[in-house]
Amino acid sequence: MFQVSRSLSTLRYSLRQFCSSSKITEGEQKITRILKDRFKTATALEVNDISGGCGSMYQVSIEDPEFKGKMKVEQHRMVTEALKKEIASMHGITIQTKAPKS
Amino acid sequence: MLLYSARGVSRAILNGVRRCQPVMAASYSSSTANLQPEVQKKIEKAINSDKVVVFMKGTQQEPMCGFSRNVKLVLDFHEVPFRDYNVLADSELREGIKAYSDWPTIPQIYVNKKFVGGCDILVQMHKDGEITDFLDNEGIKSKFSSPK
Repeated sequence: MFQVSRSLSTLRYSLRQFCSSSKITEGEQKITRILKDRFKTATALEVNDISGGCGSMYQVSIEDPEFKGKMKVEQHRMVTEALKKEIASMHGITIQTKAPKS
Repeated sequence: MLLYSARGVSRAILNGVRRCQPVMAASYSSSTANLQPEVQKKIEKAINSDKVVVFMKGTQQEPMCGFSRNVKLVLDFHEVPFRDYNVLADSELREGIKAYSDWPTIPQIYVNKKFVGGCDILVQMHKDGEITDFLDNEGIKSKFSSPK
């Protein structure tokens, strides 16, 4: 009995360890969906929940030819504009944007 | 450009046809209604008074958020003095600056009255080695400025 519970707790522990990298959270899905919809020509798109569980901090990286020739501020504005509603209820978001090398 | 026209439209909605478009008015009101004239004046006074201004959570002596802290660290690294405004101590400013810059997050950096960006942009400018040239062009001496 003791062993079972111990192995269970180890399992839970290892699950928690992998949680952040393997399980896609609801928030991540939602943000990914919005961004995919907005940046249809994106060559790379990644959304990560970096809040450590509470779901209020995200990391977003997008590579899209649409960014070419635009200033960083403009590129980031395109992303924050798309996520306006979501950002309002977040604690933080960190954004990386770039145009693919041609 | 599109941003500004959208704002104009929302303002028109707020002023004119508020009752017809309750949903629209509600969804846009946060960015326009929050920028009261006195808050706008306060922000303009702030960005006019110093060359480098950071609206941040906490103070430069005691940043209260990792993003604000990173901005301070980058500016300190380049030996750029800046004026800090703590948005946590002023909720009008906290919402006002978001509307004023049309930028949803804090910290926000202004150089010579121009909006530069937030934490990610400043850190990226630092990593890409653009920051010295940028500051030189703005007439601001920093650690790696070329001697004239």
